[in-house]
Amino acid sequence: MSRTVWVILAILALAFAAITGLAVRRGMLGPQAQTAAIGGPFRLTDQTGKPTDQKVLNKKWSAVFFGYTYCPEACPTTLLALGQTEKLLGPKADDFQTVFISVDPERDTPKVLTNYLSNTSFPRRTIGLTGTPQQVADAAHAYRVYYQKAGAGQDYQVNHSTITYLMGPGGDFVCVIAYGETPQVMAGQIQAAMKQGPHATSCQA
Amino acid sequence: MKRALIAAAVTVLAAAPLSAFSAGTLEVLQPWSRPAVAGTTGVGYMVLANHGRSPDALEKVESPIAARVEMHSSAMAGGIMTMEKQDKVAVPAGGRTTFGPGAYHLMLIGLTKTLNPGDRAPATLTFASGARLKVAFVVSAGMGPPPVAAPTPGANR
Repeated sequence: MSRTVWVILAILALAFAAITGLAVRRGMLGPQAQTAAIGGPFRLTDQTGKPTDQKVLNKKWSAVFFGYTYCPEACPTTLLALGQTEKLLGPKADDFQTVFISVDPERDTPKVLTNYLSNTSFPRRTIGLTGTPQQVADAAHAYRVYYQKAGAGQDYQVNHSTITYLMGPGGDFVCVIAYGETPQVMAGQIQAAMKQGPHATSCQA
Repeated sequence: MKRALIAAAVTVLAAAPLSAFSAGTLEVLQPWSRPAVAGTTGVGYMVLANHGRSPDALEKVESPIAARVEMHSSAMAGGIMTMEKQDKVAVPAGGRTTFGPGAYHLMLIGLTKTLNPGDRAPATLTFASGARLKVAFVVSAGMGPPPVAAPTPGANR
């Protein structure tokens, strides 16, 4: 076989590889675009009783989590993990906050939230938010969070989504932090996002 | 000989895990809890072991530091945590039932005392067989149960 044929074959192989690479990259970019539109405007009241809105997310990286103070399982699990995550972030913890939004506005008054969040094992920089049932429903809708009252009487439970969202300092969605992640994994995700800068779109290193 | 016996007794006592409680053929292994502030709800986790030949069930739990204690089951489906109150929780003959994150748990409702890491939350467990067991839930500083002394070979079978 002549040298010319080999050169042509080599060029064709290279072209094929380049086209395949481009196709793969396109395919990988596709699903990411669909994760937009988590979060947005809300009007709630913080644990000091002050009316507040989505601007509480500005300037800091925020772990946004929906729960209720009566909850003995998922909520302490997540808040304890975030408390340890905060410590693992070291000096970067100053750029990070936890936002706990109640899905039980009937029982979770600002005063109840203040007491609940005074737990020294929970993250130190935590904003507790509650509101009218409608305000809470609107906020949960914006974050695509499900919650449903279960059981009767005073001691009802609220079944709810256990997902935690990492939002960037502009208030935009960055990534999902799965329930039950270790503080080490959570801190790694947050650090990876911080490294990408304020417009991070993922928590991958 | 006498000295050896005393030495052996001391060794056994020192090695006995502080975190196990037993009455008859029932044993409660590693009861633990999580930090919670007074006025809120605390949690109780443990493993119930029934070394007997007949099934038993945990029917009632009381604690001097909670307004009342309820038994609940947790289930996770599609990222949503669902809880259901239980009137009793069975412990099969020769078997174990685990109260742990994502499984059965005790809810210490209306804590009258703040639970900090290292604290102990006392409670009394009453079983269908009539057995009553006093336990103390140790408050963990970490995500899982607090570390215990190295297991002693031959103990807790």
